[in-house]
Amino acid sequence: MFRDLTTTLVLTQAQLKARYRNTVAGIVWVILNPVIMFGAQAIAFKHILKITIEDYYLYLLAGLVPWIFVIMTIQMATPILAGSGPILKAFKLNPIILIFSQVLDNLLNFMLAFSIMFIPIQMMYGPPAWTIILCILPLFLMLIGISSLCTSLSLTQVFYRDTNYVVNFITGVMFFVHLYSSHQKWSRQNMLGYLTFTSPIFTSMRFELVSIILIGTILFWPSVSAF
Amino acid sequence: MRSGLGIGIKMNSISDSKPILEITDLNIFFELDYHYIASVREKFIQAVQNPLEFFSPSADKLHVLKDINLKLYHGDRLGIIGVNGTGKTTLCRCIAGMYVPDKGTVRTSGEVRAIFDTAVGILPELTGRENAFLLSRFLYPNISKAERNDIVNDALDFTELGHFLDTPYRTYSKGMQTRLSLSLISSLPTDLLILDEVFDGADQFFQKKISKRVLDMINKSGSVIFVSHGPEQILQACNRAILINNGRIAFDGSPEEVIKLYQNLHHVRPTA
Repeated sequence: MFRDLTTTLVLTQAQLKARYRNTVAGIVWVILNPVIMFGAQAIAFKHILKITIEDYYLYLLAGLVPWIFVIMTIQMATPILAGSGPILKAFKLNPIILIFSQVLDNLLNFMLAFSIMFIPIQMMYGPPAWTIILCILPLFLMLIGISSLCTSLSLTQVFYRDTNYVVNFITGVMFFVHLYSSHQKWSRQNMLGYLTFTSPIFTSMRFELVSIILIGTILFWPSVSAF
Repeated sequence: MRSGLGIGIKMNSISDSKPILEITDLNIFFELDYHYIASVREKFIQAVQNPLEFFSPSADKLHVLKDINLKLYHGDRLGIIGVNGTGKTTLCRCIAGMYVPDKGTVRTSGEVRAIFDTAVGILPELTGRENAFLLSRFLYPNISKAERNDIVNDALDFTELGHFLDTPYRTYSKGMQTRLSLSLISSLPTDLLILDEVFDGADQFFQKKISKRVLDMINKSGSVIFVSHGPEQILQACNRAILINNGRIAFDGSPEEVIKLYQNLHHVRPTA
């Protein structure tokens, strides 16, 4: 088990290196990708469609960046086992290592992007910077959920090669359905009502940003884990 | 004898009572998906005549390995010979723990190391050097970092690939990939070593060079299973051999007897 874990970490490090090799922007893509999506959606939904969500940029940060992580991980991990046949047949290797290393690779990209985007948001809205530590538990839960889901999908893809197409279709639809359905309930004042076990803590300490991050994670995670 | 691998070796004798490998009544089945070419008219007729079978076809099962019983002791250098598709690689993968038997058991004591394809890179975008370090993780998971550095650097020097080691692995020819993999897998001995047609792809000069290194490792390892289509290689490297025919062990004996039987069975002309 420990050996598989260290092998996973080594493979994750190697994948991070391989991902940005021979690219012009390199590791900057970690930031560029979510920033571009953030900017595009902020302009499209806030300024063009005039969506009436209070603190929309905060909402977008809480939801969009974890969503990119979830979607990219699922889409990249689903075909991994089917495509790694030559490696798996060449020598003995626990196949789950390949999936977990892809998940960890994307997680590191997500954490870096989120941390950097957190800085301007924190400056705009003011909650203490140390509140980001409270994201550890939801992140851990999300990691477990995503890893389990990716393992199931990747194993299914080995036997039913249309799994990948179904995943791409459903994740595309889910994004827009979620955007439409969630904005009706969202507001800074009433969202704390959805945090049944944490609301007393956050109400008293006014960690609105952390609450938003938790909601963003929790809202997306059940819809993904419902698979 | 100096043909084939080019280096003579001292035959080892069976010396230990506890088997390193014990296979009992091993059977392996594979499911096969057939996709016959058929016209639209033929498919329509099939769908109408037998709709259940058409829309949910039951997979055929191929009985790959049949009632295999085998024991390997310390010092055994077992050669496996047989025609293509007869189950040699399947048997080796089962021993390596990559396949679960449908029936029977495979018991090993000690570390098993196997490699089935020498032209596989983990991450083709990385350089040969980086892939070598990564591959060493999978082949030698229990060694320290310092030991790993020594082994990999020694193997990289042995490949004679020079500055190509720092170019992407995807740009390598098959021969270069084979050089890298063979040099790496022949770095450390182990309890049970499985080599499945590993010399394919290596050029004649490197084959001679790597043979000495591989044979040195074979001699230091507990037991070896060596799969090859070349009778000369089996004669050079092994003190025992089995002939696999249609998924069964047709004969188990000395390499000379097995090769003679193999050549007679398939009307192969013996080489000088």
